[in-house]
Formats: sequence, structure tokens, C-alpha cells
Amino acid sequence: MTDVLRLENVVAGYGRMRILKGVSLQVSQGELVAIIGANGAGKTTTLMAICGMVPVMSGRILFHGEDITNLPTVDIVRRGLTQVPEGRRLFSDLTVLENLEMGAFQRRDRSAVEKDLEACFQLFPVLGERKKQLAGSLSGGEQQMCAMARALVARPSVLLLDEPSLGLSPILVRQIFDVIEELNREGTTILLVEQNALKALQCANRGYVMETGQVALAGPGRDLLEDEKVKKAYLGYS
Amino acid sequence: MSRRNRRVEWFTLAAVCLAVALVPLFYGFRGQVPSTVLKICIYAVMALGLHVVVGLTGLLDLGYVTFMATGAVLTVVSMVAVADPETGTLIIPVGGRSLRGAEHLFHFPGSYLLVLALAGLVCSALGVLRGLPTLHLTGDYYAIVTLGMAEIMYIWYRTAEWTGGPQSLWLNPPDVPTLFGYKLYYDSAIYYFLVLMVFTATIIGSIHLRDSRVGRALSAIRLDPTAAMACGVPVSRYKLTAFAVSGFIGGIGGSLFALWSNGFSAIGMEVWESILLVCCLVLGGIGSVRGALLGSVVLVALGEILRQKVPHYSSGVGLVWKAWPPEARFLFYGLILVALMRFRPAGVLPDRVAGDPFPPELARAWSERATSLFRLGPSRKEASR
Ligand SMILES: Nc1ncnc2c1ncn2[C@@H]1O[C@H](COP(=O)(O)OP(=O)(O)OP(=O)(O)O)[C@@H](O)[C@H]1O
Ligand SMILES: [Mg+2]
Repeated sequence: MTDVLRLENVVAGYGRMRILKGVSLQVSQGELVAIIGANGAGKTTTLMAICGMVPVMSGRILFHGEDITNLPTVDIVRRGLTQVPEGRRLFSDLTVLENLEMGAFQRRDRSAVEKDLEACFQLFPVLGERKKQLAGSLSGGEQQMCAMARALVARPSVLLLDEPSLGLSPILVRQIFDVIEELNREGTTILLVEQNALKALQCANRGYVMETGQVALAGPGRDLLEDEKVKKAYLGYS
Repeated sequence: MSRRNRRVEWFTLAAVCLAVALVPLFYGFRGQVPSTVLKICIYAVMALGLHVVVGLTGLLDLGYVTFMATGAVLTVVSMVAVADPETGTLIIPVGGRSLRGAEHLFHFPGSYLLVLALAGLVCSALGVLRGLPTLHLTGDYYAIVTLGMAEIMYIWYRTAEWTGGPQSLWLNPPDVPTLFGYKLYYDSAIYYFLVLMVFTATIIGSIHLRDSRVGRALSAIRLDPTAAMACGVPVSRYKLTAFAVSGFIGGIGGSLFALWSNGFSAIGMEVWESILLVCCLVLGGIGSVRGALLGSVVLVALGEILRQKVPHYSSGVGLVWKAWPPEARFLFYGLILVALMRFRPAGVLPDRVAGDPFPPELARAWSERATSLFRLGPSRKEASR
């Protein structure tokens, strides 16, 4: 297996404040990798650094072996790395369809985009029904689906998901995770940040546990689920 | 917007342009009505230019008058510029004096179209220049910086020698540019139709821009710049494009305005003009093309009406006819905006809002409230009891 995404000792933060204190991780082709960790551990910051939205102070980020550290976000998206940001961040005054079209902003192959939109509506039938609705008036779950669909129409080779289950009912959480696993099965490499550690580790090939800006623990998902420390800190066993 | 709404929109806008074209049939080209219509059209053009930054990109520009002033001053200066008959150097005759025997430098066939384009391009560059240091500002910070920059330009224009400074630069009849062999006097047919053409082109352009890929990207930037970036929108480049387009239209509007007012006076280019244009957008509904037109019609027409003599009540004398002081219009603008914020915070013709744009219950409550204002005594129903 080859590394698609690789972080080497990445130090990053806001202004002079260092949030990531040397994060190293890798994601291989076709893998589903989960990052779990407490609030404020730096999970979101890690994804932002990968996308070039938070400046990296030292270390490198490699994508398909190429150095993409501190490249403009536009170029990173063009290479096939797309993020579904924390809290969805849809364009509230645009319709669902327009949001999805924004996702395909960099693509020029109009007819292929149309096909992918159709595929998205197959994957998320609710969105098909609500094409013309303003995204801001969707329910939380529908918004999450819309955000994922928007990322998917960019045809990413690696998808970064930041807390897709945030604020969703248990049924919707299951639905979202089903979609994530299906996407992964179809060949999309996924890096998933989750608070729902149990769900995330169950479906992930491998997992990383982050603590205060560093990777504290790494290993196959099943192993992490068995780990005493993880059980205690993130799975709620006492 | 649905296809039906879009058709309604095109129909409305075409009707507006047609109405403007038909005005001279009834009123001719000279006089209060055509002059007001022209001013409305010019302000509508500028409002649509401002709309690119305020409505689409979502940045509050409080210094748009800079483009208007720059377009106007460039036009007037290039039209009055003459070559000194003795030394051959360029002279700008300030204060209405004209040089006997001097040759106009920029009067050749089609020169006004060149000047018009130039006014637009210079303002476009100015917009980009102004945008570069403010690329990362949003909200109040952007508004304050544009306000400050406009003030700097205002002070420059008011004190510089080449702009006439505090005096006015008049376009005397020989200075007025020619187009296709006709003088572009402010009350000439050719000027009227030039303005109408620019007005129509700006409307069509605005709609196409809004529905284009660029317009969509600008909307995305307005709604969430971070998410727009994550979608692969080159945010800075698109913002600069918006500034350039907005400045271009402002410069064009300013140039036409210079012909309308037959000269340039820096004193008339105060911050209030910026505010007025913003008010036009707010009144009609920020982000809406039809709204920008409606706002310009209402506010500019109101300003012109208030310049007319209106009946005043004077104690002891009774009703007398006199004009309001020019500042009075801002009192009315203020009142209109307060009422707007109370009753239709999204503007009168917003482009799109979630749900019903004007719920019937609100309409009823609104009209009841309005009528109750006039019911000072007991209502008819109560009185009959
Ligand atoms: N824009 C910012 N400026 C300064 N500090 C920030 C900024 N954004 C995040 N931080 C800080 O960086 C740290 C890590 O934040 P981050 O959002 O990466 O945490 P997280 O692991 O995603 O947490 P959560 O699970 O709550 O989303 C936090 O202490 C946070 O306060
Ligand atoms: Mg987070």
C-alpha cells in the first residue's frame, strides 16, 4: 500500500500560538482512518493545516508524495483533497443544488458533473427532493448530507470529514456512517475526525488518538477499541 | 430563482428600460422630468456597480463616491483641457475662464467613448488598488477603511489644482464632447439615449453576472469565505475581480454624471453620495438587481422633488411655497430607512428569502398600523356606537 497522505512532524497554529506540536500520521490508498481526541486536542486544526487554511510552521505534508505544505487551498483542492468542514458551513442563501454546484467549482466537465449530481441524489435521496430549497433552511441532518455531497461532487481522491455526526440523532448517525463506509468501499480514501469514538473506530481501518496537539496513540481501529486508556478516556468505561 | 421568476424579472426590467425610452415622447428632452429620469438612470447604474461589492460579495463599501468623482473629474478635465496656443503645453482652464484661440486636446470623433472607457478603466484600477490592502478585511473594518480612503480622495480632489479645487470646473458649450457629430448636451437626445444604453447594458450585465459562475462564487464568498475556499474558489482573485467590475461601473456612472451636471465640483462629491447609493441598495433589498433600481428611483426622485418648491406653513402668513434646504432629503432618507428596518428589514424587493417574501399576515398588520396612524379621533366604528 502506498501513502496517499502523510504528515511529518507538522507544527501549526494560529498567529504565534502553536496548536499542533509535531503531528505525524499517514493515510494509505483506500483506507478509512479515524482521528479521535478530546475537545481542543487539535483535530480540526490538523485538517485545516492539511487543506492549507492554517499555516504550517514546520514539518511537511505530502500528498501522493508531493509536498503540499502551505500551498494555497485552491491548489490543494485541485489535487483532489476535499474537506467537509466542522459545522457543515453550507452557503445558507444558496439552494441545495447551487451548493452542490459550488462543490464542483473547479470542474469544467459539465456533463460529468451532471452525472455526479445525479449520483449524489441517489446517495442522498432527501437532497434530490429538496434541490430548490435554500440550504440554510435544511435540518441539521440534511445539512450534513448536503455538505458531504458538496465535497463529493469535487470528486476527491481523499475526503476529510470533520465530525460528520455532530448534533445528529442516533438514526442519522448510523445513516451517515453507512454512507461513509460505502464511499470508502467504492474507493474513496477517508480521513475522519470524530467525537463518536466508538462508531469511528468500529468502521475505521486504523485510528489515531490526539491529545493536546500531539498523536498520543495509533493503531488498527479494533486494537484501539480494546485499549484500556482509550476505553477510559473516550469510550466512557470507568 | 425559478424559471418563472426569472421571466418575470426580465419582463419587469425590460418594461423599465422601455418606460425610460418612452419618456421623451411625452416630456421631450428638456426640463425637469427627463432630467430627473436621467439622474435616476445614472444613479441606478452606480447603484448596480456598488451592488457587485455590497450585494454579491457582501462587503460594505462606504467609499463608492470615489469612483463617481474620479470618473467625473477625468471626463471634465479631459474635455476642457486645451493646448496653450503659445507654448503648446496642456492647460486646464479653472474657474470657468476659457482661453481664446486654444485648441481642445481631446476632441476628435468618438473621443467621448474613449474617455468613457478610460474613466471606467481608471476606476477599475483604482478599485483593485484600493482592494489590495483591504483583501482580508470584512464587516465594519472594510466599511471604515473604504470610508477613510474616500475621504482622502475627496480632500485631494477638493484641494488639488487640476480638479478646480473648491471651485467648479464647468463644461462650457465648446467643451461639451461630441458623439456621432452631435453635442452631448445634458438635454440633448443623443445624451439621453447614451445614458439609456448604458443603463440597459448595466442591468443586463448585472443579471448575467449574478447568474454566472463568477457571480455564484462571489455569493459563496459573501456567505462563507472559508467554505468558498474549501470549494476551490480563489477568494482573493474573485474579490479583486469584484472590485474591478464595481469600480468600472462607478467610473462610467461618474462620467455620465459629469455630463448631466455639466461640470465637476469636488464639493458635491462628499461621503453623502456614497451613503445615498448604499441606501438605494438597502431600500430595494441588498443583493437584488430590481431592488437597486427601485431604491434609485425612490431616493433620487425624492431628492429632486424636495428641491422643488413645496408648501410650507408659516405662522401669521399661512401657506407659502418654498424649497426645502438640500440637506432635508437626508431627513427623509433616514425616516424611510427607519421604517424599512421596522417593517421590511430585507428591503422592498429582496432577491430571495427563505419562505414567503411578504407574508399576508404581515401585509395586513402593516396596513392596519398605517391606517391607525391617521385615525386620531375615535374610529368610525367606535363613534357610531
Ligand atoms: N482561530 C483560532 N484562533 C486561536 N486559537 C484557535 C483557533 N481555532 C482553534 N483554536 C484553538 O486551537 C485548539 C485546538 O482547536 P481544534 O478546533 O483543532 O480542536 P478540536 O480537536 O477540533 O476540538 P473539538 O473536538 O472540540 O472540535 C483549541 O485550544 C482552540 O481554542
Ligand atoms: Mg474540531
